[in-house]
Amino acid sequence: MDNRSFLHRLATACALPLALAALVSCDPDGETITPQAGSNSVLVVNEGKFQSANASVSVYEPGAKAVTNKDIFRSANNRALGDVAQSMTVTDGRGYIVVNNSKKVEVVSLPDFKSVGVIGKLRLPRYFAAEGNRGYITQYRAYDGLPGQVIVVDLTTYRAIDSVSVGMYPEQILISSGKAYVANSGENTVSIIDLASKAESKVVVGESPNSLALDRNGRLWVLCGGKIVYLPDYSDLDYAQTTAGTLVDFLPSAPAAQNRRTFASNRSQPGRLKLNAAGDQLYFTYLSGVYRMGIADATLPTTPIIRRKLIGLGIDPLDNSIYGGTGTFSAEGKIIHYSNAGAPLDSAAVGIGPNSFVFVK
Amino acid sequence: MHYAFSRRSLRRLGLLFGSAVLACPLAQVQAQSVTDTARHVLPTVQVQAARPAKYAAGSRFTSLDSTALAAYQGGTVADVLSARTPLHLKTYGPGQLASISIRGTSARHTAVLWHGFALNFPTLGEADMALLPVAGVSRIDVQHGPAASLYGSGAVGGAVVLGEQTAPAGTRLGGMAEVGSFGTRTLSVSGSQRDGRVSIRTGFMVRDARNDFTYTSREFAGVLRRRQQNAALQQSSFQQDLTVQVGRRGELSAAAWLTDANRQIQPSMGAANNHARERDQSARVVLGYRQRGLRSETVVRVAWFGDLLDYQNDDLATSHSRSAVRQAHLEHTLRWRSNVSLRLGAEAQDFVARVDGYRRSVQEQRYAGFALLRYDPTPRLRLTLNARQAALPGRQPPLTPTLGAEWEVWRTNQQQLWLKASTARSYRAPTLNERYWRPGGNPNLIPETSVGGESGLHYEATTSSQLRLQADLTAYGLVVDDWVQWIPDANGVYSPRNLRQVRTQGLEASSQLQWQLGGYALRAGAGYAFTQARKISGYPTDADPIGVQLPYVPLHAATLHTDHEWRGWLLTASGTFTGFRYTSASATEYLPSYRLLNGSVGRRFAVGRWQLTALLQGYNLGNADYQNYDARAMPGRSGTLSLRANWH
Repeated sequence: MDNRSFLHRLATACALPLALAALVSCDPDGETITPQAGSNSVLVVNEGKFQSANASVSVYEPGAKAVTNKDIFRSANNRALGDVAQSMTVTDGRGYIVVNNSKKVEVVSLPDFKSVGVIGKLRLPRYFAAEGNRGYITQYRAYDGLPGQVIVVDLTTYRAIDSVSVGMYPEQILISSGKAYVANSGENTVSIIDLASKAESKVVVGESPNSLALDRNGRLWVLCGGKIVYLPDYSDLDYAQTTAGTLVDFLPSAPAAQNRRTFASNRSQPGRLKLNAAGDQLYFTYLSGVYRMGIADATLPTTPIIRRKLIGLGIDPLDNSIYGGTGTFSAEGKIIHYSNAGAPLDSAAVGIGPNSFVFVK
Repeated sequence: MHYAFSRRSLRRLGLLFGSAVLACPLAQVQAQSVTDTARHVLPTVQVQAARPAKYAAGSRFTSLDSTALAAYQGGTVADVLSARTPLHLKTYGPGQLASISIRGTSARHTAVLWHGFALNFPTLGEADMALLPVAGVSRIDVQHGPAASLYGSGAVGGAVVLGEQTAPAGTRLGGMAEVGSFGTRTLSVSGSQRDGRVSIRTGFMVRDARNDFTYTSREFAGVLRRRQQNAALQQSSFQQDLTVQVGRRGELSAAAWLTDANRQIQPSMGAANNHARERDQSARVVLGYRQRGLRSETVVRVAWFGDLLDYQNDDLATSHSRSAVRQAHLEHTLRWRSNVSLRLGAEAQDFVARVDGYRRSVQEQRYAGFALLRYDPTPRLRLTLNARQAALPGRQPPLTPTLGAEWEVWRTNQQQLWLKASTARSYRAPTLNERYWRPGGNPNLIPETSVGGESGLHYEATTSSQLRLQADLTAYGLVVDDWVQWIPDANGVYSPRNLRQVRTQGLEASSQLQWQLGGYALRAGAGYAFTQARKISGYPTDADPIGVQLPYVPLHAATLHTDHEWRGWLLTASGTFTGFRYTSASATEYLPSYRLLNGSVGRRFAVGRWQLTALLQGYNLGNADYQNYDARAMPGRSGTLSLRANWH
């Protein structure tokens, strides 16, 4: 055989795969969206996949029944938000997004979502609250046994200026009348911090408090998940010792005078306590559903208004409609918009792991 | 006290250790030799074990011989497979965890074998290709598809067979010193002696790297060039092999391979550096005896493999994992005629593990029996029929048969064309993590199974002693059933469940050439893979969507390489193309495609009985800014200079 024709054939054979690859391997098109969070927008905080730094905030417009931007932080700032968005708080035209595994809080201006600062050098931050030009961030110090902290931040410089030691695994923080209330989920207490003196004291509530709300009468509501105890061999929970959750309320002026309601089942940990705008209806997740309770109700509700396991819950202050987030942490999540009665109205795809909602007024 | 902490941290630990872990390699480079099945056994000295292809007619192999591996002596199996084959390796940074995907399956669906025993961590089910130095292997044969089930559990997508190092005749000494970008330093030495009765070989390799390469980071302060933090590593490998002829027909062998890696875990871009680090140590010892008869052969091997994995970071106490497996393998091969052989065998494995996450020590036994039949009715037709039955604790895996055929349909003096086909069923036993992790482990998991078939063409031509060409084209389909997925239970604890059915199908094309003219020698090759992998059905509890490409499986991947040699001068150029990969199960986020170009130039001298080689290698010459795994930075243009000396 002639070597030349042979080489020719060979070159063709070699080059074909690469040529083929080049022809057919166009990447998917990215879409370009102008960032904006308009009035009445619903911001969806998407936790993202742990260690993939793909946390995001999606914008849902209830009027248009559409997600107009799946990742508004990236659109506005041309960079990723970070790893594990735990929560977002809006106050004074600023959004504070706590990014847990990036150990930072990203600060954005609203409604354009432009980055205006970063509060860094945190440990394992969870939630944010502000009063005046001071921000307060709850954080774990590790996953294995050190008490948590509240970091005090100067909101003009975004630098930490002080810290207050609180209980184990502090979660939500709520500020009222010069005091900060912190749910210590790793024990059975709420820390009360006098913001002027930074003095901390604790009040005993139920086991493992996770979320807080302040009702129209000024009473503080504390939702407690209940103490989880595993069997000695860790094969399952020890339901003889695992306690049911509790819902506790008290007046901040008299924290010891509590009303306490105990949930019927210890097979589920109630969480995600929310309040309507009027401050008289409580909502929370429990037993793969969403429950509603009036602040004057004598007992805990027994019938869910939504029967679905949600990883995020929000109540729209405009119309008391309900938002739920669902999804795994491996694929894009979905939000479901429900009427106040719990009837589904609409759903939309958002980022990975929609864990909470922020309503922009 | 077990509060919310338990849920969150265990979930993360579960994610970390239950499914896959951390990790990364040095973007390396060079050519590839994708040879085909049984007929092209390259002439290397082989004391032990026949090629894996003998009982795998109709299967596709990707093989890298000692020549192809030569340029990677300072690197890992992950480096060489990424650079020279279209197989996809998911790498978490240079030298970090590298997980192979064959035909769209995941790393736990690939059995990695050495001396016939799986190197996969029994805890995780996968092998980290970045922990296996090339210096420890003589060749690499990748068998694609479930027909690799003839090796046992885990070969659902295929198997990687690491050829054991052997001693050539006479006395040899070799050494290599390599320095490169980002503080990379490698030193290796080896020596061997072989006469008619005894063969002995020792090899040692050590390398470290700071991996403080720079990358582009978009942050609040703007677009910055950052230096990679917390990605340094130290790695070493020691091997000792001994083979002694016993009488005229017996052969006693012993082999030990110790590997150690102390790695910082490269944080993802955008996540905080929590100073994670991981220590991996493995010890593997195999003793074997082979008795050859006129028409038969009996082999018995026993082995002890032990693995240690410690992980720690700022936020967690150190997590310890120790596992060991004692195993025995017995096989007897009968050759009635030159064209019929039957191999019968049995295996037993005893696993012991002490893993913090199991909260107790666990022990488990697995057994298997197999029969492999090879029959060549004519020199132009080869048939194999295999069957394997395993016995596992809990639910039993099905019988896993494989059937293969190769038929030479056309032949001239210089050219041959073969038609090939095979079909097989395979299984994967649940990993120890899947069964015993607490809370979350699921002792009731059933084995994953796969059923697949492939068909293809093999063409080869030899025009003279100067030119040889081979080309292969394979189409395949594979369905994996009872695919395991970790999902959260009512308490938020992640637990593995047999949840879905996944179908992968695709095309694999490759060609290679060797050409010699006067003092010039050329080896060139190209490979391409089209891989479609989708979940096709699942249970309602498995929320990931159906019908979209699985994450981290590129639809397209291609490689091209040329190696030139002229009067002692060496020149290589190679390129790889990796298509876009989705990073989420919803196929909504993706990493863009990338092309890497590598090259090297070297000179070889002979001084008496010494052969000296100086080699300058360049990686990512186009300085591509890319990510192989989401948010893990990869190095730009870099290089190494190595000096090698061999005495014989």
